[in-house]
Amino acid sequence: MGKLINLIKNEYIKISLKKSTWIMLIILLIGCIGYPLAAKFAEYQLVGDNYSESEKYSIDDYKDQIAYLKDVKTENWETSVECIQYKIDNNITDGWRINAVDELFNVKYNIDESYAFTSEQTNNYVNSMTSDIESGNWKGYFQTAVELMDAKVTKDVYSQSNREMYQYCIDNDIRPDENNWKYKTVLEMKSAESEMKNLDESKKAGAYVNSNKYKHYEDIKVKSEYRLQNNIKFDISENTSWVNTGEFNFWSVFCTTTMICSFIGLLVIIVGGGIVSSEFSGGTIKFLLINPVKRWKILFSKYFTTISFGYILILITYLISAVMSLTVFGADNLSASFISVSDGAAKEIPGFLYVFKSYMLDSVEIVVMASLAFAISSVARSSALAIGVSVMAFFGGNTVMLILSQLNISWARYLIWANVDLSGIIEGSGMFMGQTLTSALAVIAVHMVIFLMIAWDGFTRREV
Amino acid sequence: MTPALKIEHLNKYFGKRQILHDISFETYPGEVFGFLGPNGAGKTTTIKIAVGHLRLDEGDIIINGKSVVRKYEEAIADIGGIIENPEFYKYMTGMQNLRQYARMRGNVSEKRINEVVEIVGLKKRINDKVGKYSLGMRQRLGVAQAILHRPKLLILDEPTNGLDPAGIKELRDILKNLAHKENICVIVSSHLMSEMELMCDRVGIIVNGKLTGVHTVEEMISAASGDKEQFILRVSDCQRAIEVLDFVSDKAVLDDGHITISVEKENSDEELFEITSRIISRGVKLGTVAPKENKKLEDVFIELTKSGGSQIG
Repeated sequence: MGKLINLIKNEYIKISLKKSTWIMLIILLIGCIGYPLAAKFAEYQLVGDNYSESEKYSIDDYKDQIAYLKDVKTENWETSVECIQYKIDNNITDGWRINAVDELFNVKYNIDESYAFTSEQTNNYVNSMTSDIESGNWKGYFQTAVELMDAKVTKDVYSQSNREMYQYCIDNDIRPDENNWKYKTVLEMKSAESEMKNLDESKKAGAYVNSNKYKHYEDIKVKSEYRLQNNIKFDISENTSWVNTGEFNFWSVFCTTTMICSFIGLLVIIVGGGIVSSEFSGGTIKFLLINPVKRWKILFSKYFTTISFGYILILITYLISAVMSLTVFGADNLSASFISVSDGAAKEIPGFLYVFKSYMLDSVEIVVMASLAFAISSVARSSALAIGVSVMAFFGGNTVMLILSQLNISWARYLIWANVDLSGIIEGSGMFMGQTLTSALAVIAVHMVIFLMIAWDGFTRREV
Repeated sequence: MTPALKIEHLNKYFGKRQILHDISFETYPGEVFGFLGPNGAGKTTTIKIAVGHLRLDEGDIIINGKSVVRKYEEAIADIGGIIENPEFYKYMTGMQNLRQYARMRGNVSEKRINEVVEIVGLKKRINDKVGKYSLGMRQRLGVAQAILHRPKLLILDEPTNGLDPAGIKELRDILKNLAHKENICVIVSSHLMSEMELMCDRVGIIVNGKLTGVHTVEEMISAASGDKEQFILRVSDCQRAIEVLDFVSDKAVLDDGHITISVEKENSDEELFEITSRIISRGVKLGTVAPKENKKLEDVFIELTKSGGSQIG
C-alpha cells in the first residue's frame, strides 16, 4: 500500500513538473474566473431585451393593429377595433385586464356564439365586467369569469382549466400580477393540467400519445403544486441556465458552469493519453520497470493519477465557479433548492448539492474518454494517437450519434456516446427511446472494462 | 557463497525463432562479470529477462536466492541496472529523478542519495535539469540510480557506449570499486573485448544465443597464446641465422627482416640462452631479442565467435 502511494506521488510529481500542465491549469483558471464575469457582461448587453412570455403591448402597437384591421377588414373587424380602442382609452397594456377586455367584448357581441344569454343577462355581465376592469377589481372580474365559463355553451378543456385557474386565484387570494410568482405558477400548473387532459382525450380517441410528453406536463403540475403548497418562491429548476431564461442570478450562472467540464475533459485526456506513452517515447520506461514494483501497480498508479487528477480539477472548478458567481451575482436565494419530480412526487435537493451532482454526472463522460485515451496510450505507446483519437471521440461523438440516430440505426444505442449523458437519460431525454439509467450504466461498465483490459494487456504483458 | 545471479537453463523465443538456447551461468558477489558477444547474440535479451523487462519462456533466474519468476518484487529489489541508453525525465533535475527512484525502492534515505551523487561525481550538476546533461553525465546518473538502494547485483548493458576515453576510465574505476570494495556483483555486457580485458574478472561469451563458455580473463589470455612464447630476433644475417637455428627449425621463421621463434613457456629462459649463444658463436650479429606482443583478446574473441566452438578448457 505504501508503495502504491509512493508510485502515485511520483506520478503527481511528474505531472506537476511539466510546463504543459501549468499552462492548461492557468487556462482552466481563467475560464473559471472569467465565465461569471462574461455572464455579467452579457447581462449588461441584454438589458432591455424582453424575454418575458407574457403579453405586453404599447399604445403604438395597438394603433398599428387598428390601422391594419381597417386596412384588410377581416371578419368582425369593427368589434376588434372597438375592443382595441377601449384598451387604448383605458391605458390597458398588460396583465389580467387584457384578457378581461377581450372577454368583455366577446360577451358583449357574442362573436363566437359561445354564450346563450338574454340581452338583460348580457348587459348585467358587461356592466359588472366594465366596472371591475376600470376599478381594477380582479377578484370581482375573476368571479364573473368563473360564472361565464360555467355558462359556456360548449365547454372545452381550456375553458375548464381557465375556470379552475380563476377559482384557484380567488380561493388562495393570488393577485394576477405578472410579477407575482404565485400567479405565474398557477398559470403554469393549470396549463399543464389542461395539456394533460387534452392528451388523455386524444388517447381515449385512439391516437398515439407520447408518454414522455405526458410525463413532462405531469411533472410541471406536481412541481407547481408543491411550490404553491410550500410557498417556495425561488426554484433552481427554473433557473438552471441564463441562456434559456434570460434571468441573471447566482444560480442561473452557477448551474451553467458545468460546461467547463468539457474543457476539463480535454485536460484529463491529454494527461491520460501521455501518462503511459511518454514513458515509452522518452525511454524512461526501462528505468521505471527496473524497480521492485509489479507492473500492474505502476499501471494502476498511472490510471488512478489520471482519474483523480480529473476529479481534483472538477472540484477546483466547482469551488472557484461558486465563489466567482457569488461575488459577481450576489448571494440571493443562496439556500434555494432544486425541485425535481420523480414518480409523481416532488423532491427538494439543496442547490449546491444539485450543481455538484451535475458536475459528477458530467464527470462520467470524462472518466470514460480518459480511460479510452489511457488504453490507447498503453497499447500504441503514442501520445499523439491516444490524445487525437480520444479528443475526437470526446467532442465528435455527439455529432456521430446525431447522424446515427437520425438514420434510425438501432444498434447505435449500445455505443458509448449514446449512454454517457446520464443527466439527460435520468430526465428521460436520452437519444434513444427507452434508455434507462441502468442500461446506460451497463453500457458504460462494459466499455470501461474493455478499455481497462486493453490497457492492462498492453502494459503488463507486452515486452519492453 | 550464494550466487548473486544464477541463470538456469534459460530459453527464449521471439515467435518461432529461438533467441536464447539453454543459457546457464552463475555470478558471485565481489566480481565484475563481463557478458560478451557480437551484436545480436542475445546479451541484451538475457539481461532484460534478468531484470524483468522480458518474460522468459523456460528456465529460471535466481537473484540472491530469489526467483524472478516466483518472487518478482523481492528478487528485483536486489538488482540495480542501466538497460540500453540512460534516459531520464528531462524536465526534472538529476536530484528529482533520483528521488523518483528512491521512492519506488523504499529505504533510501536522503543521505544515501547524496552519497551516491558523490560516488558518481555529479555533485555540482545534480540540481540541473537532465535535459541539459551530456551523455556522460546521464550515464553517471544512470549508475547513481542503479546503486541507490545498495543492490547485490548491478547490471549494466553496454555502459561505455558513447563515453569518451576519460569517461570510460572513470566508469571502470567506479565499477571495480563497487565490486571489489563493496562486494557487489557487477555484470557488464559489451561487444568490445578490449574493454572487458581491463574491467572484468570473468567473462561469459555468448554467440548466436548460446553460451560458449565462462572464463577468467587470465585464462583467456593464456589460451590466446597457448603454451608457447614467441620472441623476435633482430640479426645481421637472417638467412645464416635460420641455418644456425636448424635445431629449432620448426620454431624459427623468417619474417619480414627479422626472425620469429617460438619456445616452450616452461623452460623458455634456457632455450633462449642456447639460441642466442649459438647465433653469436657463428658470427651472426645479434641486435635485440624482444618478446612478441601477445595475441590480443580481441583476436581470441573474434576467433571464438567465428568458429562458435569452445576450444578453450
